[in-house]
Amino acid sequence: MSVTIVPVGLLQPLVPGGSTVLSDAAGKTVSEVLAELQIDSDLVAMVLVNSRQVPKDTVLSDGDTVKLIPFVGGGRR
Amino acid sequence: MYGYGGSILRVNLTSGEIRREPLPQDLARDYLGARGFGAYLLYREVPPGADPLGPENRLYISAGPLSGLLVAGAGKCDITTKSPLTGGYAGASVGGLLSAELKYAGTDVIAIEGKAPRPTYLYIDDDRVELRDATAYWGKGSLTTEKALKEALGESFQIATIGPAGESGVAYACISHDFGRQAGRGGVGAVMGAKNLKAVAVRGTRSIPVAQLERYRELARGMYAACKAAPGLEAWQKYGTAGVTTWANEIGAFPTRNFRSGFFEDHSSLSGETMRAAIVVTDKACFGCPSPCGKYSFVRKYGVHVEGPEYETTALIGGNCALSDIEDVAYANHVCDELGLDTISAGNAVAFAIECYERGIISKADTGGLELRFGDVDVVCALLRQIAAREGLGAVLALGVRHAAATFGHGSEAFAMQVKGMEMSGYESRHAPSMLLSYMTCDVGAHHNRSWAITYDIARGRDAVTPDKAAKVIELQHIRPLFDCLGACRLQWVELGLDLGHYAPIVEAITGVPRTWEDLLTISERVWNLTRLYWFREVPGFGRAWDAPPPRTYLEPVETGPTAGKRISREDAERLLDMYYEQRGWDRDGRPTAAKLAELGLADL
Repeated sequence: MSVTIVPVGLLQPLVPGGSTVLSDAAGKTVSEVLAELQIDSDLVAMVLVNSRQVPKDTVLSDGDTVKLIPFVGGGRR
Repeated sequence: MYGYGGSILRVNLTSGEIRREPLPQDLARDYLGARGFGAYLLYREVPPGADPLGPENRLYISAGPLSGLLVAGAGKCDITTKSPLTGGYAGASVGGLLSAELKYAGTDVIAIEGKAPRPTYLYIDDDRVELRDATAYWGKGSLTTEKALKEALGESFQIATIGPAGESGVAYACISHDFGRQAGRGGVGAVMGAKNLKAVAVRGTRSIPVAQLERYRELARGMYAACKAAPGLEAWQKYGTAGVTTWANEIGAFPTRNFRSGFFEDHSSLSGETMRAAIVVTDKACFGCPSPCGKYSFVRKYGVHVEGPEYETTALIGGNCALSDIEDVAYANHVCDELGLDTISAGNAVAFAIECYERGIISKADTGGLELRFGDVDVVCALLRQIAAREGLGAVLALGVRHAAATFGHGSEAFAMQVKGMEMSGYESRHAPSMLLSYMTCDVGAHHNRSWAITYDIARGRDAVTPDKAAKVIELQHIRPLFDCLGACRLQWVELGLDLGHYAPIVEAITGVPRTWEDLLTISERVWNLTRLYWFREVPGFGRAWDAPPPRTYLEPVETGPTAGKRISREDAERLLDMYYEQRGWDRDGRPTAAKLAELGLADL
C-alpha cells in the first residue's frame, strides 16, 4: 500500500532524498499529499500520475507514481 | 561579421527597388539582433506620425545572432512595425524556421517599405530577390497560401504569409508561418496587407561564419545535453503549453467569460491531458529545438488539422468564450489560423461582444440577427469570419476592443480588457499584482511574454503590493525580451530550467565579441527604454494614463473560483506604477529621465 512521489528539478530539494515512498497516501488527494510534504501546491505546474496529467484534487491509489513538475524561469524566486 | 547573415535587405514595394546594405557593426554591437534591430530601425527610419497602414510605415523581419545556429531553441524571428492596433510600438515573435533560413540567405533584416501596386510576394533565393505577382493567392487563407507556395516553389522555401484578415486590415491580423506559428500580436499582418504584400518566401544555402568554432561546438553540445537531461522534459514535451491549463484554473487565473472569472467550470475538458488523448497527432518543433512543445492535432469532428491549441488559444477562445469542447476550441483555432487572426485579441473581441449583447448594450440590430451567447462555437466562428471580412459587427470588432468600447459606449470601456489598445492575454490577474503590473507596463500592450510574473506573486504572497514585485517585473522585462534580441526561444529556460549562464559564452563564441550576461541585459534595457520613447513620440499625450489597467480589474471582484472576491484597487495599481517608474529611472509620468537615457547611450534621443 504505497504511493511514490517524484518531485522534479527545483522541487527535488523539498523532499529529502529527492523522492519518497509514502505508505499512507492512497485515498488522499494530490493536494493533501503536497500539503503534508509542505510543497506549495500553486507552484507545481503539472502533476503526472502514472505518466498522465491529472488535476490536484485527484485521489491517489495504491501503487501510483506521482511526478511533480515545477515552473522554473517564470519569476518564481 | 561572425554570427550574422551580414546584410539588411531593403525592399521598396512602391518603386520595386531592392538593395542590400552591409549590416552596420555598431548596430550589432549596441542592439544585438532581431527585436533590437527592429526597435532601432523603427525609431530611426519611420517618420514620426506615420500612418501604420500607410506606405511610410515599415515592416522589419529580423533574425538574431543565435538564429540558425546549433543553439537550443534558436528558431525565433522578430517582426517589428508601428502598430495599427495601438498606434505605438509593435514587436511580434514567431518560431519555426524563418529566421534560420534568412540567415542562410545572408540576411539579418528584411526592411520593407512602400506599397506594391498589386498583390505581390517577396521571393528570396540567396542573392536572387524578386517581387512576384501574388494575385492568384490574394483572398486565400494563410494555411492554403503557405501550402500553395510550397508546392509552387519547393519544400525548401520558408514562407511567411497573411490571410484575409491581413488583407482587409484587421488591427490584430497576424503573420503566419510553418502551418500554425504566428507573429501574433499588434497587427503586423495588417501592415503587410496594407502594403499589398501577401507573403515572403525565402531559401538560403550559405553557412554562418562562427568566430570560435570549437568553443561554440562544445558550448552547443552542453546546452543540448542539459535540455535532454532536464527532468521536466518528458512532461513539457508531452503537453506543451497546454500543460498549464489545469494549473491556471487551480490558481484562479484562467480568463473566463470575458475575464469575469478566473476559473472555468469545464476546464478539465480543455486540459492538456484531454487534448493529448483526443486530438494530438504528433509533436512539432521549431528550428534547433530540443523540446518540441508544438502539438499538431487532427480535429475529427470538423475534419481539419491545426497546430495547437496553445495555452493562450485555449484560454482566450476556450475559457474566455466558454467553449467546453477541445475539438470546438481547436476548430476555432484553425479558423483563426486560416483567416490570419491573432487568437488572443480575437478571443477577447468575441467575448467582449457577447458580454455587450448579454448586457443589452448591443442587440440583434447590431449583430445582423445573430444571438450572441457564451459557449456557442457557431457564434464564435461566425464572429471570427465577420471580423476577418470586416462585415457587420465584425467591422467594429476588427479594430480591437478599445475601439469597440468607444463605439458601443454605455460603460463598456470598463470591461474592454486591454492596455494601450492591445487585448489582454491569458492570465486573469486580480490576485496577482506583479502579473497585472506586467500587463500594464508591457511595451506592446497587455501581453504576457515580456514578463510572466504570476509565479512570483504566488511565491511571495498574492496580496502583497511591494517594491520587490516591481523589481521582479523589471528583471523579467530585461531577461525575456533579451531572448527576442538573440533570436532564441525562452522556453528551454522557463520550462526545462536551462541555466541562463549558457547564453553569454555562446554569443561570445559565435560573434567573437566579448559579452557578459550583464552586458546583454544592458542591451535589453536599452531596447526597453527605446520602445518607451517611441510611444512618447508617436502617441499624443502618452504617459502614465496609458499604463492603467482595464477598469474591470479594480472595479469588479472576480466572480467565481479560487480567486473569487479578489480585485486590485486603483490605488494599489498606482502604487505599483510609482514603484516601477522609480526603479526604472523614469519620471512620475513614466518617461525615461535624461540620466537613465545617458546611462544607456540614448542621450541623443
